[in-house]
Amino acid sequence: MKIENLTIESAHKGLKNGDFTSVELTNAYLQKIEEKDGEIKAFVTVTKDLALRQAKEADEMIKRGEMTMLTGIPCAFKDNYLIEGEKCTASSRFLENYIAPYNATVVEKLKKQGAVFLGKTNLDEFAMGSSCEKSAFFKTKNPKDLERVPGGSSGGSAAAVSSDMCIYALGSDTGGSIRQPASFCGVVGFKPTYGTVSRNGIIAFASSLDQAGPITKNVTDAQIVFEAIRGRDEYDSTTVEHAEEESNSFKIGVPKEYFVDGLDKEVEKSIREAIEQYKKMGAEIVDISLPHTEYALACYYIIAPAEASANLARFDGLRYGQNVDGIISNRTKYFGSEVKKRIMLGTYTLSSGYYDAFYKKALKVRTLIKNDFDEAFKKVDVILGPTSPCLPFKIGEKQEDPMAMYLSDIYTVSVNLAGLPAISIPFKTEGLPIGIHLIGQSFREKELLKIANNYDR
Amino acid sequence: MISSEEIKNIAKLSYLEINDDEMEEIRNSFSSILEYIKKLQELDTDDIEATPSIIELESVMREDIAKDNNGDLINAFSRSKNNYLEVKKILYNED
Repeated sequence: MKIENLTIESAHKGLKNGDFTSVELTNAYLQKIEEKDGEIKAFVTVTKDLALRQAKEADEMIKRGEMTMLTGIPCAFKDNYLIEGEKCTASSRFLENYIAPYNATVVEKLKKQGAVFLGKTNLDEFAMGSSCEKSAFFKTKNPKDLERVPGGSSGGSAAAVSSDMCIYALGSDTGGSIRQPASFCGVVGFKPTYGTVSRNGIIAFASSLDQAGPITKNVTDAQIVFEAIRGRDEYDSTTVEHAEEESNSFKIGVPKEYFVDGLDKEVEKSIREAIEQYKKMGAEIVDISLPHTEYALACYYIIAPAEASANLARFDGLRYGQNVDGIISNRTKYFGSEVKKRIMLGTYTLSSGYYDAFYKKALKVRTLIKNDFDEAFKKVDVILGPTSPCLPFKIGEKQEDPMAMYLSDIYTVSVNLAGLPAISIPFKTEGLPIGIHLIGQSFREKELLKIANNYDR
Repeated sequence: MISSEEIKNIAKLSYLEINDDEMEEIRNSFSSILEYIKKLQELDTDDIEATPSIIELESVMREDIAKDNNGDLINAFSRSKNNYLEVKKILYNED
């Protein structure tokens, strides 16, 4: 069967009409992974037995008339989501042989709907990176150009969706890790508001920033997955339930600070074109200012490593993970260099003598960044800009200088600092993929997705 | 440029060891990141409140009763005895 360009919606229709069964659909994707993943290297683990078992169950559910939009639809998870009985590595040697003892809440929710889990996708080790080159196992390639990176850290998920090795995938986003790889691979990546989706069972990176979300073929699919995974969870105390009012307002803010030096000319041209297209659709375009934009990345590179240094303290090799000869040896031997660097950076900025100058200062600057957005959203419904300042870069291109790599997150990190929902949608182009970044107001994802869908349709 | 001694001390606090081969690379990248994050000092934040989290967290209380008691958690331990985690002795008598 032909699976290219299937979406959740179209595959659901096919299953519902009896054009194919979930077992047939699942086998087609497993076949595709077998043919294609040798080249792309998106998957760390393919969970073939689990997928076929789930597909059979899904077909039973469909027969019984218990079908939801996601029943029988094959998907993939970033390898930092726990699936009971399957390996969960976070693309780290430290967890190379770790078997998850329970399901993440998101996994459990999708399982109840009869979703089919094809496997676990590659990431930068512990989600720390923007290119998937920091995976301890192998580098994933960008399906649109095999010499280039797929972005990161959810690069395996984005590459898998982009190359039709699954219909949708789950990612996690601490500073852009869903949106930037979606942008690089020409697919949709959606980070919901902080607190809308449970992180229980997702390996923590920086807990005040981490949020789970989908990578999909289009905006409608992102909405379907979001509705399935959202909601309060007693195992994640940050989750809240929120009802959203309908809105028909269509005001798009364009921050002048997003169009400055360092933005690739081709990206800029495309984003300006997208703004014109929105204008034609009837959107009111409003010039706005987010004056603290230039401080967001520095703020992020204090807060995220600080929280990571605390979160990764649990990796001692005693309760799980590699155990060779004591805590220091385990960590020294099995953590990669980027992970060590960030743990040490966080330890440094939290240590006595530096706490006020770095960590506390960053928490205050975070307030200023959040206030900028609050002010802007008094005037507009969403904010539009580029997802990444650059086109997908070549493998190895940004290895030397850590700051060159970090700068590719410059537009996405402020969103996590302010806890806002944001989505990257592909600009329509024949060239290398470019992402349009739309930022919404807290807990107003419907409005954001509606405006995103206007372009995506 | 941050000194090797300082890096060694931070590594120790982080339960890590940095060998001599890695030292130069770590010092270089640490220094360039520290230089970059110093940018925040340009801002006057004396009257600004800190935002540690976007959501106001409330403590959630529950009865202290185990649920979802999952033996697989114990299977992941590197060493266990009678369903307890077994570790090296860390407290000794003085004599």
